[in-house]
Amino acid sequence: MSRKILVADDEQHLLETVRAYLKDAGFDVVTVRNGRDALFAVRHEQPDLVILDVMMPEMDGWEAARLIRKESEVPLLFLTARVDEADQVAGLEIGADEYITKPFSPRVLVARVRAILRRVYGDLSTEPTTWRVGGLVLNAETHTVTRDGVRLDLTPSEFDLLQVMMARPGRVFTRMELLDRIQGEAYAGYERTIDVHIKNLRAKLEADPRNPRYIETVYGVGYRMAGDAQ
Amino acid sequence: MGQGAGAGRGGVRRGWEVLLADASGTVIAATDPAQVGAPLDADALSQAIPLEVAGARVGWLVQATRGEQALGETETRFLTEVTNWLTAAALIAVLLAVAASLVLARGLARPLQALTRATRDVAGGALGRQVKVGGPAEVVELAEAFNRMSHDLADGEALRQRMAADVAHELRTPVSVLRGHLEAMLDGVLPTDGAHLAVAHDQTIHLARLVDDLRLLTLAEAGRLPLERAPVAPEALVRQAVERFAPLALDAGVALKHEVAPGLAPVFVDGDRIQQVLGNLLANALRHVAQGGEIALRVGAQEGAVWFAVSNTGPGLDPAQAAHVFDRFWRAEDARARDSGGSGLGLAITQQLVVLHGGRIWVESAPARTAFVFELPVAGGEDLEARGARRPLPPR
Repeated sequence: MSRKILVADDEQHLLETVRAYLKDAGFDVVTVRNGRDALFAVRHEQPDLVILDVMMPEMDGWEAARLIRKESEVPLLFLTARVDEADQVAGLEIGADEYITKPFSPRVLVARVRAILRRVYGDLSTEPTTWRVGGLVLNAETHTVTRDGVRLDLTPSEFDLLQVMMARPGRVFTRMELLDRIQGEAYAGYERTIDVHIKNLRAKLEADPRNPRYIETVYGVGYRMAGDAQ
Repeated sequence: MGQGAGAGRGGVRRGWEVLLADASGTVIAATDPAQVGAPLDADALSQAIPLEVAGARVGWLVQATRGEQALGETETRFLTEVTNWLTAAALIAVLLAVAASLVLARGLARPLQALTRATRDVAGGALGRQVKVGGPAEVVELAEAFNRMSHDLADGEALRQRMAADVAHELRTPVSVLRGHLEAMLDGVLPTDGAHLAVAHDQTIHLARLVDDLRLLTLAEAGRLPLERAPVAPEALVRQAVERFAPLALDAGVALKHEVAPGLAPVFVDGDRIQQVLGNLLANALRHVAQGGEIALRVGAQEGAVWFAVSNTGPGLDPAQAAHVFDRFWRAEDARARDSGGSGLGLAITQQLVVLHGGRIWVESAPARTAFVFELPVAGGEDLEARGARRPLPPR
């Protein structure tokens, strides 16, 4: 049975993105636009996890969290534009399990949601742990990569880079995005460091690095793992 | 001290005498008549000035001191005592001067040292540092000026930080939406279609608008927004604003009325900026009034000023809300919930533009009626703020 996630945010476009990502990850999603409705939904929908924006009309996220905590132990995750440390501490003191600041990556949000569910309910990860492209197999749990059954020796950066691209074959990634994914932060001007990682990766996993089968270059954009385009 | 010494020398000077002797050395005239007739002694002769007429010596002139011996015992004691007292007085005076200068130096140096330390602290970033006020009047004045400066610096810094925090906060939501949508389309979680691209595009428009508004507000707050002022007829301002807004009001199903008192004097303003003020107020009214409601733009004159009132039949503001209505990034809750755009800077900019023109703006609110009223000086008139006390509000 899939877990049910309640999302409360007054910005409808943000709600749409979060809903799309959570559904894509296999969750049931209920969305509301303010704190009062969130409280109501906690009572009637019995969600397994609640994602709360802080600045909402009718009732803000702090107040909603306080009232939810009075009657439920449901895991809470704050999603907010308030970045002050004092705010984060206050949020965690109310009994929130996580605090994510905007602007956030929806993919990171989904990963945090999975982590909380694993911690609270002992859910086995619903996230796939193995990806396969042609003869290339990446296993995230054992942290190994094999090509045609032969184990490849990758650095941590190379492994992360390969995992990001193998998770979405056919999807184009810019250098900036890849840098952001493997380092957690990206600064303009450093995108070319990705080229070095890609060159090393190709040397390890391509039969002919000058004529790559797996990691394709998309001129003027970035790189892509061969596979179905989306 | 000097006076004492002078008096002492005066006492000695009384011992001077002048003798006039003839060629033989017999005194013929003297300051002391008792000496007349006596011969000059050798000592006196050696100091005598010979008097000569046509080469022949005719007599002697002697200027001489009478000598200590000439003083009586009482006078001598008196002189000695005077000298002693003078020495003592001089010593005491020196001691007093040293003591006084030490006290004065401490009174000056202490507060000045404190000021120096505090200045270094402020230079080091501890804005708002205050010093204890004390010491001579000039030092007190300096300390007070320092405290005021330090306080103002801290205020300015706090304002700057709050502004930066506000801006960062306002950027977070559009950037979140933009990032979420673009990532979702790249990941294939949302379809890459016109609707989703339009949402992303809207966020970039919103961001660009925010950047423009911030620049305008910053310039206006710093008083560095140039105004091209000229006499403008209030009717012309109203006509232009109404023409611009009539289609929007029609579209929203809101009645847009206007009413201009006859014979108004021209106002001395930058017409484009005042159009911006009217536009912001009308756009704000349109955001808060429901379909079937009404927006009215009225103009009248009072005491050398022209007032413009933009009223709407929206839900109204309570006094707590009215107090914040000109704060940047403040939005009434219904405006936030209805997702009705706006950078949250419109009214802050409006206020600054009116103030730049030497005018005043305020809000009057009651349930189901909110009016923004601003006054502008007429051409040739003085700034309204300069007149001091707030005059009664113009009639509605």
